[in-house]
Amino acid sequence: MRLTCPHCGPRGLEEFSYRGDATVRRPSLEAPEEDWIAYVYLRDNPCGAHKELWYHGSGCRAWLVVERNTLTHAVHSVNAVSVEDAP
Amino acid sequence: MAEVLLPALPVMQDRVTVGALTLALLPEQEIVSVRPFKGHFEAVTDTVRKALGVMLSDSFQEETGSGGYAAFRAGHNQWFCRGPEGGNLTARLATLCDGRASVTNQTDSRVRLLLSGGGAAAIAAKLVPVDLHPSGFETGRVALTLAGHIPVVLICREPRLHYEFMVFRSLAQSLFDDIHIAMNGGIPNSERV
Amino acid sequence: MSRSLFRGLAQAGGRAFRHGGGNGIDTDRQIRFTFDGTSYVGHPGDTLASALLANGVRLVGRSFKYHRPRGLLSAGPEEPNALVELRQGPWREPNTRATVAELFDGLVASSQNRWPSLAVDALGVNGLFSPVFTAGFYYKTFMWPASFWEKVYEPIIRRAAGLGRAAEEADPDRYEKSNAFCDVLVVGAGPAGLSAALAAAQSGVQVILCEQDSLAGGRLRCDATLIDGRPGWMWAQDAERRLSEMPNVRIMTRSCVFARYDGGTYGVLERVSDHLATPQDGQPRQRLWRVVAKQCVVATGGIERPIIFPNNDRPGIMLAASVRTYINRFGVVPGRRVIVYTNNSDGLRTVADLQRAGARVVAIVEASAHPSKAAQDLASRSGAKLFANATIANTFGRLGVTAAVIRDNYGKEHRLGCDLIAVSGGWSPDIALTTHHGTRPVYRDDIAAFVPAPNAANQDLHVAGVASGVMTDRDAFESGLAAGYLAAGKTGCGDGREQTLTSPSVVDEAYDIIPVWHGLDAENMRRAGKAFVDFQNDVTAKDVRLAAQEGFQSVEHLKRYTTLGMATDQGKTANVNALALLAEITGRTIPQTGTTLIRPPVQPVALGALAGAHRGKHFKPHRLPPTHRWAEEQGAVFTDNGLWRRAQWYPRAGESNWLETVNREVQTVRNGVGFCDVTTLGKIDLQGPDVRTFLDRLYVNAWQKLPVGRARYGLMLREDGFVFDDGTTARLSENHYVMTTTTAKAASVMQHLEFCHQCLWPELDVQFISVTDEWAQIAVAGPRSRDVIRQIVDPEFDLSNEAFGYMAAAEVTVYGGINARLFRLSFSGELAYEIAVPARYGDSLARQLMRVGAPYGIAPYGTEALGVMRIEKGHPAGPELNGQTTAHDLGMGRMLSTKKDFIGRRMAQREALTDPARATLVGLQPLLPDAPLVSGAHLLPKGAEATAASDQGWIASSAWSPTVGSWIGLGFLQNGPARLGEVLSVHNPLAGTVTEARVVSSVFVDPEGTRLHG
Repeated sequence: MRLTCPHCGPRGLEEFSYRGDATVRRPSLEAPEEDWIAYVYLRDNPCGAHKELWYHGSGCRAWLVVERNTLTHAVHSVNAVSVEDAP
Repeated sequence: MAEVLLPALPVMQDRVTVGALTLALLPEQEIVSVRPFKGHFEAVTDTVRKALGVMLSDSFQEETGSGGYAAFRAGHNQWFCRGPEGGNLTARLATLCDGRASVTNQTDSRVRLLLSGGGAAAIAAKLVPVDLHPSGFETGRVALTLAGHIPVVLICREPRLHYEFMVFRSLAQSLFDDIHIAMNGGIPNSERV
Repeated sequence: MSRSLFRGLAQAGGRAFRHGGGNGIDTDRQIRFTFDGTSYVGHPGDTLASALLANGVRLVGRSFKYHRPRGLLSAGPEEPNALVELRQGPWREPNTRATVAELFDGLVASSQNRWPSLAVDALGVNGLFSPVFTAGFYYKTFMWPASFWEKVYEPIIRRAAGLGRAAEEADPDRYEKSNAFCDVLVVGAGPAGLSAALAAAQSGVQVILCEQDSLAGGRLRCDATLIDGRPGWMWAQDAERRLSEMPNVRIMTRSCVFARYDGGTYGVLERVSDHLATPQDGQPRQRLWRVVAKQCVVATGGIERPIIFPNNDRPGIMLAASVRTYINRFGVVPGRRVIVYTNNSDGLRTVADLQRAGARVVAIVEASAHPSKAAQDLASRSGAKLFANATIANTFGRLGVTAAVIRDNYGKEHRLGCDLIAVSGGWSPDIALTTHHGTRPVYRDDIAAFVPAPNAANQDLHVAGVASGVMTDRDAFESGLAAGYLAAGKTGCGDGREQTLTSPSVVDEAYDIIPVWHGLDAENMRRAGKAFVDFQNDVTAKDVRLAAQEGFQSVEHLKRYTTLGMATDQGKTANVNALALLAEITGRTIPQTGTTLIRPPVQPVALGALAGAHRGKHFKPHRLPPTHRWAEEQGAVFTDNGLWRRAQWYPRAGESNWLETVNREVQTVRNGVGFCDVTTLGKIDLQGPDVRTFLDRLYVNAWQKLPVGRARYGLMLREDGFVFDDGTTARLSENHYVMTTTTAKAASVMQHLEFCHQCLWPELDVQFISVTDEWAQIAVAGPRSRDVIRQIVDPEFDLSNEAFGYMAAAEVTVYGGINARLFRLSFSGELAYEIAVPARYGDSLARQLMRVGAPYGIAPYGTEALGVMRIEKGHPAGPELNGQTTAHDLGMGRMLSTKKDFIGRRMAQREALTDPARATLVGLQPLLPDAPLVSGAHLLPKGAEATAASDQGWIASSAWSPTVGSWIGLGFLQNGPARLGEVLSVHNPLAGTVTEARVVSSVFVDPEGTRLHG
């Protein structure tokens, strides 16, 4: 598998680590416990399009949002999370 | 014993040769990480350009200026500035940036090894999973990547012939050994040297 | 022909079956090799298979289950039978296909799976017990009694079955990996692949052409086809030369593309020196390539299928195109009296080649209802008998075929003497690479074969030649050129040159096939004569029928039940025939019956190649601390902490064991002064106006009020509320901090910080960078440490307890102006410092510490003494921070701030994570001081039975404490703090021992902390 890092270009899987669903948002401290349980433990396992977080730890150390199809393995887009990376 | 601290070499041998290929430890130079704070990118770029004559370029292409200074992108929102030993570069840049960027000395963090000779690209390709073809990886190109299992900054000094590996000091000996093994393995027959 | 005649011919110097020159061998030179101890002669360019055939050796192995004599079925990588052991001693490699083993001078090869010899195999009687070995025998025969499995059945099966013997020593060869990139990868250098490479290269893109064989040409080397009026192999040689002269083409021979992975990534195995007696100096035996290609043209050709008929496995029964390969490429005619049995027009080509090579074709057996025009012509020219709508009903010959029975159109049987049967059941496109992404192939009735699904040619994959289902040479050239141009165009990297290449001229005949898969009828399906479907796994037509009868009617089930299609050949010559047979038995069409997808690797890949250079001491990189070389000089014993290699202890002359050394190191620190390289702790430099807030959110405790020049202990949780890591962070100036992490978690903490900054709180203005390698950091500990540090640090810095007290931090200079950092931190519980100097000076600093510390009896200490002292002080480390413990468990529950948000705060508040009944950190001391405590032992109420129900905790760390004069331990115990003084049973289930220990405070030494404030 290869990802095209928006900074470094196309690279092999071994340079990245996976975190999972990029759409979950950390709840506020006051949010109900169910929200926290959902944030920490519960994840969808979609067959098809998925937005996920990857870390280019062996490259530029940027966190990336990858749009990927879990069925076909097609990678649709890779974007940096950080605003600093879009000067 | 003299009452001074003496620098030690980061690797046991400073040079090995296999056929036409050479792997050599490069002399120390000052390496400084510069990471602009929010809203200060332009100001910091300007400061560095005035001080060292180099731009903080967005692409992974080293900018070289006069006086032996150079800079390249070393990560997201991060640049490495380089200069000759003894220039007190960290302190100078910290003063010039004046709180608009984090300035961190990386001189001792990084060791530089130079792989040279006909077939150097083929040897580097055994370790580095990045396309080194001169059409895309020409002089001054920088890749933050892995050499085998070791994180490196790879810089093309001259396509096909000279490649600089910048590696964490603690991993320098392992990288030296791994490159040496790759050199011993020979240049693949299918390689055009 | 009798065996004795074969032997006689074999003795005629290896020339017996060599009819002349082949296009792939050099008959001017001879090379010697041995097979089963007998010496033979071959030529450069031979495979072991062709050289054995040239010497009249037909019997090359015994089959897997029945130990039936087997010869060569094929001439290529699909070979199921001719598996041999190559080389000797540590170089011995079992299960190597003789058909792809290139001959070299001095090659030693031997047959396998036979005892005592190939010709006389005692286990051949397995054939008599064959009912035992039918489909599903693993599941049926050995069901009962269960205890018999390990003692009786398994050893018998292992001795009788199994194939070659693995070498008993470590593999002495070298392997390496490499990376290559291209615009267009072309797989296969036959007519289609060469054409595709030429077309892509003409387009100006970067091309890699991979050919698994040592020579380019594919079937142009196997057949006598004329291309542009010359032998086809000459066209191939010419094409290869043209390609080799183009700067944008790289040709890799002996390189098998064995896998297609995601993102245009391909696995390629290059056999660098398998064809040499010994690799050149330093050269690897094999090289594993990762090729990344924008587009790929698969031109892998086809695999010929056998036909299923009784006793179709005798040596001398061979695939028809392989017979042509031996004749045309290797100059070997594999028999003198030949029967050609075919269900397609391509098989008939064999007749003319055999005749030209001087063999006599005694019969042509066609499966088609009416004799073909071509067969009639060939028969009349060669004098062969022609049988149409006929089958081979049986064969004879103990160690090689000597006769066959042909059942003609009328059911009449004709027995004919022969020493070779050339069989063609038609061609299966080699579609393996096209299915690696899960795309199922489709069945085409007109060629009776599976072809890549049209949508398999998704954006980056193009199939050409026989692999795509076009069966003539002309179509192969044309489809290759088209695929090459298309692939190059799709890369968008071409230079837009005109597409001027055209196919060479070739006289071709159409490919006709009738879908006849076997020569069996209901009657001889039941007869004893085994009709093999899968030669390598000894799976017969009867097994397939039995499996179907027993309900295993899906191909996936058939495979697992009968073992069909498994092992080294993965059913390359068997799968389609089995599927067709299963379809017929179950009354379905082939598409209804299905097909199995092919997984990587296409061909066997040695584990050594996958490991590459990463073996032995180069298995993983080592991180060496700055004092490593000095520690080596001191005779230190080292241990690996993750990638770091650290000094474990420093033995001295006269010390009889490690414990004596460690005790001495501990006492040196407790009573005088010692030092230890702690560079391995992760160090992160943080700068920016929001660092304080950032730290507040990372750590459980408060950071807003940490003054400049001070350090503080911090605890990090994971978001699920469990402890992640700990360490100290010091404030060096207003907006400048330096954080330490544990050695083990340094990289994880860095990743965590990046996540928190980039994903959670991008609004915080913070920048950080690892400075672990920048600073050589050395802990100097013990009551005399200030005296030592005073001589290192430049005199203008006030190090008095008042000016530089416990938890102070400062940027200082040492040795006359070298930048350094000094921290008053203590892991040992003694008065202690950590001093950091630029890493290049670390080695020298160790030497200076030895010098200036000599008057105080200074000694270095290793990780073992470090560990003993931290246990004595009750400091948690790796065994306590194991990912399953909470701040409450560590007795740090009160550190959790209630005034701010931080990672893990919310989840840490859950009742179950703060339940007092949770196992909580305690100290443990055995009632008998000398009774060792062992990490991992279970804590039980005193005298309780060692059951899970009475399990109340565990020992996490333990050590002999020279300071206490007893074994001590840190453990986790339910309701721990409330049970001080209680005596527990300590159960070590590994050693089967129960000892007694008392619950004590987790701080064994200086609980008031007076020493570290001294």
